[in-house]
Amino acid sequence: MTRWWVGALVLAAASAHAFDVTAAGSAAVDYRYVSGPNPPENPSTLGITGLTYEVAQKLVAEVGHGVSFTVKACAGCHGLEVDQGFGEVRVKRFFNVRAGRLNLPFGEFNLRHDPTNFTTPSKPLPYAMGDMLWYGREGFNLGIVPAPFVDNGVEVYGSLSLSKKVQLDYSAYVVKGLVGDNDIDWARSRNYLDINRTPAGGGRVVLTGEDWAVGASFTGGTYDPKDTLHYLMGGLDLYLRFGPVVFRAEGLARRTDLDPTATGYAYQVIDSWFLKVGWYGQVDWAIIPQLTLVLRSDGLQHFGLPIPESSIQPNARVLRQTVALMGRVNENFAIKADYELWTVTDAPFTARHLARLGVVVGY
Amino acid sequence: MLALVLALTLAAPPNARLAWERKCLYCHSEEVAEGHRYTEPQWRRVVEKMRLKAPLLISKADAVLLTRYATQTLKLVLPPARPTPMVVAPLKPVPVDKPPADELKTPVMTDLPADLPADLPPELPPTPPDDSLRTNADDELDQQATALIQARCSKCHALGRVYGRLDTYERSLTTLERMRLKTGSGITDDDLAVLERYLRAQF
Repeated sequence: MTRWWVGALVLAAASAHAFDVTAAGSAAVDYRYVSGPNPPENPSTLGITGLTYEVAQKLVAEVGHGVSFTVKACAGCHGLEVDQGFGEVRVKRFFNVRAGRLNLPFGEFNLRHDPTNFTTPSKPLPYAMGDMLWYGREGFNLGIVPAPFVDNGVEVYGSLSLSKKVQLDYSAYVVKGLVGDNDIDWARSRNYLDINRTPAGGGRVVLTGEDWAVGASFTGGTYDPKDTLHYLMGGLDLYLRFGPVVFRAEGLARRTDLDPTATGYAYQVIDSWFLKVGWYGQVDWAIIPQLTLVLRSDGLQHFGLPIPESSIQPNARVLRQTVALMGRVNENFAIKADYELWTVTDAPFTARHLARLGVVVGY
Repeated sequence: MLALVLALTLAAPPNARLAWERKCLYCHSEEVAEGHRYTEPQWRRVVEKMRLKAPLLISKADAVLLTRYATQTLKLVLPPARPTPMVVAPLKPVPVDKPPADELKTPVMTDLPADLPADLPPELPPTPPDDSLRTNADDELDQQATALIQARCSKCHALGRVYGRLDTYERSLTTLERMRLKTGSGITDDDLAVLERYLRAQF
């Protein structure tokens, strides 16, 4: 299937002269060093103490009358993937439709998941994937929601003016839904075919003003082939801007059903579900236009029964404090560096120091 | 020397230096931006070429200001042409009907400097002596639009990429429309109206 998407991308590029085509792309390389012996495993090509990369190319073809087609392919830890591939009709400001392979609007960070669009070398923990320490099924089994949150379906979205400076944006979607076996598997969730009969649904509303925004997101569905195990996610986000200083904060949670008939649980099954809560608060200060200082505090908290393969305790928690610098060499090239202190409770290790150095190229 | 540099800097209108830093040094290092010497018309063409690359970063009014700053304040102009050294030769009677010797002609620079960028826009009309044609409303629109781009677009994007994308009127409008409809963009109808007026003035 990936070949079809790549073919579409090439065709779109070849026919660029026929429409007004806007192209954008990015490439990012990130070197991470983790202190301490036996660093936890990581799915990146060269391991957690090595290099990872992410490359993306996006084409938007405007065909007129408010109709556009978007294709975005990206490559990273999981190989070549299609991040976006949808057609879009802009009917009215308050009513527009897109259908195909979408980036679902869940949370504020997901809108700017491309490495050129965020200032730290790493994603916040609620959105962390293989990038986080102890990410696997033996540990926290990833964050709350994938970034990008890719799914196939249809989305209706728009914007309503409430006053001269305040507006309400909304989005509602019906999609294939997340996929997994006794907890969600994000890699399988990106497959093109659905595994059950029940579509998933969700939405997002954002109230924006002059220099602020508050948003709420939710989504839910079933994630197993028998349509018996449910997941429900919700989140709140805040954005504030005071001149060169930007403050962002988000809180997200996911309640996931567990299979009570599965074997290997470390505890007696009383409530066959668990709750995972994640959050971050981040301050970006543009000291000069070319240099931004970032302070971030984020975390993940697990409540309830761990999955059978996991060696975490029911109330395991991971906290991270980050100091980062991003320098823009020019409009296309930026360097990011950070120091991260990870502290973990109810897990086999307690703390790790992590340093990252990354370069991002975008156009 | 330091006092001279300080005096020259202070002598310039404060917003000109700020504009130079924010517009030219946004992409170029000081060494690159201030390492060239051109004539005043050549500077106008260089600035215009840069403006065509990022018309929203460098507005029409900025182009005039930056050219003036480069030539009059920073004095990044070519040194005046040296007169040709006089050749001393024994006096000979010159026939009355012959023109004077070629060596005595005033030298004229016809070739462009080697470091002048290629693909410059065609020769531009002379810079108007002042900004008298601009109204307060124009200035207000420039300020409003610049502040809006910084506040709204920088929510997700590096501004350099934004300025690079908004390169033609039509594409800028469709891109703005698409971005406006991103959930949480915060771009209101009023914002869009201001940006449209600004775009129309720049292209």
